[in-house]
Amino acid sequence: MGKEQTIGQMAMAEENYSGLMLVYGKTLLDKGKIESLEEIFKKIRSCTAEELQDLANEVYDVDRFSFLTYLPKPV
Amino acid sequence: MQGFAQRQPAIGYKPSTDTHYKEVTQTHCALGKPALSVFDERRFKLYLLNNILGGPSMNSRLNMALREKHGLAYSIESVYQAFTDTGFIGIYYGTEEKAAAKARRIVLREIQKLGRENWAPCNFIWEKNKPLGRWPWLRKITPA
Repeated sequence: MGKEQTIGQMAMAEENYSGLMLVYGKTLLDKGKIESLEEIFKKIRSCTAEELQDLANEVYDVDRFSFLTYLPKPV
Repeated sequence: MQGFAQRQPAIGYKPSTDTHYKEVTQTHCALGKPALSVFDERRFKLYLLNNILGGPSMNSRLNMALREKHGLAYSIESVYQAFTDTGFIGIYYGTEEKAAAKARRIVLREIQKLGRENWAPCNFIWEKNKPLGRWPWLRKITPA
């Protein structure tokens, strides 16, 4: 469900041509190539649960987050 | 054409906590940290993770926990942005001042659950062989 939902959102976003061209231009400047949506979909579909869990443990480390809070001024 | 981005990896990040008083009516909270750059091949996995955690859909983990279940947040979202030298993941939510501490606990718990809970196929439905029916339909209606 998560995979197909993400892929569907990306497919819908592709309808925005100006946004799509900006993304392609940025990718071309950064990496010298353009990755098609089909290639990206393939990579997303190839994810395994173990890979996602390992990545979550690595990247979503709660001890490494910074916090910013805006509180209402006391009256 | 070759990519000419030649950036050095960003280093020296240290977690910090800041609180400010502003002319606002609710409490605004944001948390974030560095993440994967555009050159990391795992970035699409992180994009998927971010979408599951706090993507634009109503069934994201944070939305279900903070809005649907506890009714604490007016808005909740997570983002992942990849740059040439680093990346960024962030979560924002707005809530009442009296609920801010509880909301933060719930957000952190959902983040921890990403890496701890068992991602069994029943929790993360595999549809590898399902044809992407929406995709051919979108191609058909989009002007050439």
